[in-house]
Amino acid sequence: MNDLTYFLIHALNGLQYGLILFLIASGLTILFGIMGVINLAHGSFYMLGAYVAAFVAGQTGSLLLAILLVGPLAIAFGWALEWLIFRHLYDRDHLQQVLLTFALIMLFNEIQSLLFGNLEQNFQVPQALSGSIALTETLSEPIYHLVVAAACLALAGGLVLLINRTRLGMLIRAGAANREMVQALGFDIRQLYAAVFALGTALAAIAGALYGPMTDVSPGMGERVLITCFVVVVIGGIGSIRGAFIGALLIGLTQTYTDVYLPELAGAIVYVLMAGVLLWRPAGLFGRAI
Amino acid sequence: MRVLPSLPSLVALGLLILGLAAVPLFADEALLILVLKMLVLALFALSLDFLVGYAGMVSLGHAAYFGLPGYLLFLWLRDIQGNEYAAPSVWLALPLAVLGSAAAGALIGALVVRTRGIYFIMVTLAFAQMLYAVFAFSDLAGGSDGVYVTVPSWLDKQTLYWITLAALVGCWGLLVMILHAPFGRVLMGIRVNEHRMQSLGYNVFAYKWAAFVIAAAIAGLAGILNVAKDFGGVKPDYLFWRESGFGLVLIILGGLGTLHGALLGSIAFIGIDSILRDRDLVGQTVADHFQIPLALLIIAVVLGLKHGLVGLPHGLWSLLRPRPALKPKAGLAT
Repeated sequence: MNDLTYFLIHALNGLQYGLILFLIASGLTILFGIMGVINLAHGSFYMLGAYVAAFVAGQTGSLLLAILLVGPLAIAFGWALEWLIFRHLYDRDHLQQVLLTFALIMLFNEIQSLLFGNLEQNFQVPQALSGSIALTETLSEPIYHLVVAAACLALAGGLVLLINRTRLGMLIRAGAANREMVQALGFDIRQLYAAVFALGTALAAIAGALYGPMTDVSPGMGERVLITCFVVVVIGGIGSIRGAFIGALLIGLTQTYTDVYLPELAGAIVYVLMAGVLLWRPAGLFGRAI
Repeated sequence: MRVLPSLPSLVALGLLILGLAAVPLFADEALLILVLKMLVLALFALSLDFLVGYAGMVSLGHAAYFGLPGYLLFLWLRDIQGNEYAAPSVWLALPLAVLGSAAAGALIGALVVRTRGIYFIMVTLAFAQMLYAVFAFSDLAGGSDGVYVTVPSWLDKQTLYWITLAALVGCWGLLVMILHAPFGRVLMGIRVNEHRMQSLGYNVFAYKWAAFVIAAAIAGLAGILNVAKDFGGVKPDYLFWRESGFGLVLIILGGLGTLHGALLGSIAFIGIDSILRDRDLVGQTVADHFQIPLALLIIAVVLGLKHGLVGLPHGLWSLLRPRPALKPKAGLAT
C-alpha cells in the first residue's frame, strides 16, 4: 500500500468536501456581493435540507425522492423567506442584518427541534449506492462519495453557466455592479433578488441533502458549516463565484490533509489560511475592495 | 453622539447603581448570581459598545477576548507556576486577564483592522472561532469540557459582586474620559466619515487599532470576573460566536452608542431570558422552546426600538407631548 495512493484518496475526499462547501458558500457570496446582505442563517438551510431529506428518505425509503423533493421545497421556502424577511434587510446596516439573521438561527433551531426532535438523524445511503469501487487491492472509494461529487460538479457547472451565459446571470451580475441602473433600465430587481435568494437557499439545502448520509445530521451542523463557508467567502472574495469555488476547494483540500497528517492543527488551520490570504490580499483572492 | 446622558438620566443611573450595590444585602445566592451575571455581561457589552457604537467597528468576534483570560490564567498556573490547583493571587489574575486580552486584541487587531464592513465582521468572527477551535478541540486545556481555576477563598460571591460593580462603574468612567479626550473625538469622527478623517491627516488605522485593543482589554476584565462568577469554570463556550452575537444583542437592546445602554440591555435581556427559561413562570411548552420568544424579541427590538431602551423614555415623551395647534396666519390667502 503506497503513500501516493493514500495521498490521492485524500485529494479526492478533499475536493469533494470542497465541492459541498462551494454549493453552500456560493449562495452566501451571491447574497453578500449582490444584495449586500450578511446572512448568518444560511447554515440553517443546509441543516434543514439534511433533516428534511433524512425524514423523507426514512419515510419513503428513497434517497433520490428525498433529494428531488428538497430542491423545490427549498426554492419555495427561500422565496417565502425573502418575501417575508430578507426583502426588508437590503437597506439596513450590517449590524441589524447580523442581529436579525442571528435571531433567525435561533428560530430555525427551534423549528428543527419541534419538527424533528433534537436528535441526530440516521441517514442511510441507499442500497444501490452503498457499495464501493475498488481502486486497488485493499482500498476502495464508496460509490456514494463519487455520486455526490458528480452531482456537486454538475450543480456547480450549472451555476457557473447560469451566471455567465444566461440573461438571468447577466442581470445578476449587472445588479451586483449597479442596482439602481438595472432598475432604471426597467428590470424588476426585486423579482431578481427573490430568485437569487431562492437559488442560494436551494443550493445550501440540496448540499445538506446530498451530504447528509456522509456526515452526522445533528442540530449543530448548520453553524459548523456556516463558519467554514464564511472563511471560504472571505478567502475567495465577496461576490465572486469563481473565488468561492477556488476558496472552497482550497479549504476542502487543506482541511482534509490537515486532518490526516497534522491533526493537532486541524481545528485552526482554515483560519490560519484565511489570515495568510488576507495579509496578502485584504479583499480576498478575487474580491473587489470595498 | 452622546457620551454622557442628560442630567435626569444620570441621576436615574446613579440611583440604579446604588440599588444594584444594595442587592447582596437582601438577595439569596441564586438571585445574587443572576444579577452578577447581568453585571459581568454589562461590562462585556460596554466594551463592545465602545467598539461598535463609538468606533463604528461591528465585530462578531469580541467573545474571543471574553473567553480567553480564563484560559490564559489556567495555562499560566499550570505551565509557568507549575501548579494548576493553586489559587491565583489577584495581582496575577487581573493584570494577566487585561493585558493578555489586550495583547490578543493587538495581534488580531493588526490583521483585522485593515478590513471594513462585511469583511471586518467575518474576519473577527473567524479569528474568534479559531481561538474556540484551539481550545475546544485540542488537549491544550481540557477540550470541550474546559478546565477549572481555583477561586481564592476570600473571593465569595458578595465580594465578587461589589468588585464587578466597581469595575463596571470604573470602566464606564474611563471610557467617558477617553471619549471626551481628543482621542475619542477622532474615533467618533472616524466612525462618521473615515475617508474624511484620513484626508485630514489622521492615522485612521492606528486609532482604530487602539480602540480595538482597549475594547479587548475591558472584555478581558469581564472575562476573568466571569470565571470567578462560574466558581472558577473556564469553558470554551465563552469564545463561541454565539456569545459575540449576544453581546451585540445586548447593546442594541440597551441602546447603541450610549455606553450606559450596555447595563440596561444586559439587565433587560438576561432578566427576560431567565424568565423565559423558568418553567414555573411560563409553563413547560414555552420554557422548552424559549428560543422562539427570545428570537422574536430580538427581531422586534432590532426592527422597532431604533435607539434601544435608552431611547424609550424620549420616544414615549415625544408621543405623549402636547403639540401646539397650527393656525394659519391672518391675511394669507387660503
